[in-house]
Amino acid sequence: MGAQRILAGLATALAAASVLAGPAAASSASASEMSVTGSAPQVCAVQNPVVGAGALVNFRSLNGTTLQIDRLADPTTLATSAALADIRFAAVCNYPHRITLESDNNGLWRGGSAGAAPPPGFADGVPYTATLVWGPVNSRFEADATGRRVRQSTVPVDEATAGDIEIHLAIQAGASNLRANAPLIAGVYTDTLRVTVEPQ
Amino acid sequence: MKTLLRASILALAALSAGAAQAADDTDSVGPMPVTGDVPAMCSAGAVEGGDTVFALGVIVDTATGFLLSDLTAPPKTLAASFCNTRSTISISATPMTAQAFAGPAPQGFSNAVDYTATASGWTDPAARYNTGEAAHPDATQTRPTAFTGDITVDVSAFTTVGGNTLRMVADPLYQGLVTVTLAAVS
Repeated sequence: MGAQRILAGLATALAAASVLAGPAAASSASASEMSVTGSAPQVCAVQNPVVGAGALVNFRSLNGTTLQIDRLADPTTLATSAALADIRFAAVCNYPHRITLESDNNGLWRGGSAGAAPPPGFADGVPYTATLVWGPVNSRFEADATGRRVRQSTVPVDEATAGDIEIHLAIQAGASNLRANAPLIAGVYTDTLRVTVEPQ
Repeated sequence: MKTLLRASILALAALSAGAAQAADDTDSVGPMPVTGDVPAMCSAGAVEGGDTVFALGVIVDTATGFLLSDLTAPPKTLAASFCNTRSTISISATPMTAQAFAGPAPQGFSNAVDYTATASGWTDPAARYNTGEAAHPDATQTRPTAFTGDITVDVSAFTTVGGNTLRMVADPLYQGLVTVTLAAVS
């Protein structure tokens, strides 16, 4: 009886050892995990301009990045002639950013005579507006020709945006830096408009 | 275990001697059956080299923002995998998603990348899982015999979730997870 009691105890010990060894040494299923990683850096890109869907009015077609007004002054009154143009830039910014329109001259100004006043009664500057459409942004930029200087407008864009930056340029008939319908002094009138997308 | 058996033998010997002193008759115990059991076991081996990351690097064309069309990463090897019985190999994967970007992707953009994960070397055909598909009929394959060997895990065919007309939102980390499971089948 004493021997049977010890053997029973031994059998219990062996069974316990077997139960403990099973799960620790083997598993009926085994998994291995691996991750797949990559990064998308911040990208802002703007392509060269093209003429948009709207008609060019009193503008010649785009030559590279130069947009030339066909006839700035009315030949009979010398007052500013109206002109309209739609320009598009294919663009993308894959993160929140800001877009800036910057005019070198704050309007179209007669070249070669910076600082020299025109003869009395003549205007030498022509204001224009640029309406900007870009994703959720629809803003109006005024190069009002109140002074010859750099002027800029910056708009934050709080989300990634892709598509076309649309700029609608408009010169009103008779607009000048002197008074409505003032005659324009002869010369070449220029401005440079820059579109910049950059981090906020 | 050996120690335990040795102890039990000694105990039996001591008891027999005691019994002999107490009485002149004899006694026996047994028979004692000795049995063992080999459970069904599977092990997906460790990733060779210890590197468990398929690192793709920059995944977009930095001039356009579109997903690169030629993304690749070296395959991984699960070395010395084994199953000592009939088994299945299963592979699953999650799309690579932008980890820092919050909310839905803006119009024209995507924040996730689909791909195909493949585990080969265990069965023919290989187990395959495309994160862009709703059903995954090839994700689990059965091997009728015990086997030991290497499993090669590969990722390929990366596509933009939502279509290739979408660009990827900027994010320093896009991440997905591939899981390979070996399971014994009774």
